[in-house]
Amino acid sequence: MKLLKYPVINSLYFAVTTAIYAATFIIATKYCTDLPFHSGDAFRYIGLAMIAATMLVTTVSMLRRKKYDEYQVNILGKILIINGLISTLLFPCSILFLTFVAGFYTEALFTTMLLQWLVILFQEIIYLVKTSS
Amino acid sequence: MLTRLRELREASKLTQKELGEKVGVSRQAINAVETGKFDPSLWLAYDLAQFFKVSIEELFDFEGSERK
Repeated sequence: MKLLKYPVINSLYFAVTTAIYAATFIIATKYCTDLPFHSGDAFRYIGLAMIAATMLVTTVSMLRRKKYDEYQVNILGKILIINGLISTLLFPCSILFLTFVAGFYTEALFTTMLLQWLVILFQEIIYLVKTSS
Repeated sequence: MLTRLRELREASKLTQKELGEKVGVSRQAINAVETGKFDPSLWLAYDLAQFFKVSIEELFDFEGSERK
């Protein structure tokens, strides 16, 4: 928990998470070329949009030089727990979705990934806004 | 945790932001302590008590608060 008081740790966590997610989307473009709704290029654009959004949020986060205080660290800890819970819930949901629409398994998996990442992004933005006032 | 923090701060004519700056925490942290949403660490409680020149027991009502 002590590490969480450094804004750079929060930025690093978000940047590394995005790097993994965006890389998955971009690499998938190469192999998912014939999907029912699109050619697969959408995955590349999503990956690039993830990187752009992360660069923006991370830059704003890094501009803060002051360490987070104990109350802010407490909130950040709770956010990370909620994040973990949502990720844990999304996984079985995506499996369930796969069972019902087996033909769209690629879309189902990538939609789940995108949802997970969007949750992290919104939490980061809300946290940045709340701690900057 | 029930506290007299708001009463003491207002008596000293300080804003939450000013008090936060004096003890090294954010305005949100002072607000959360005042409203009982957040129990401060022992060190923050000590700093606040030192600032107002009271004991921790005078600043926080341990008897009337629920133990978490």
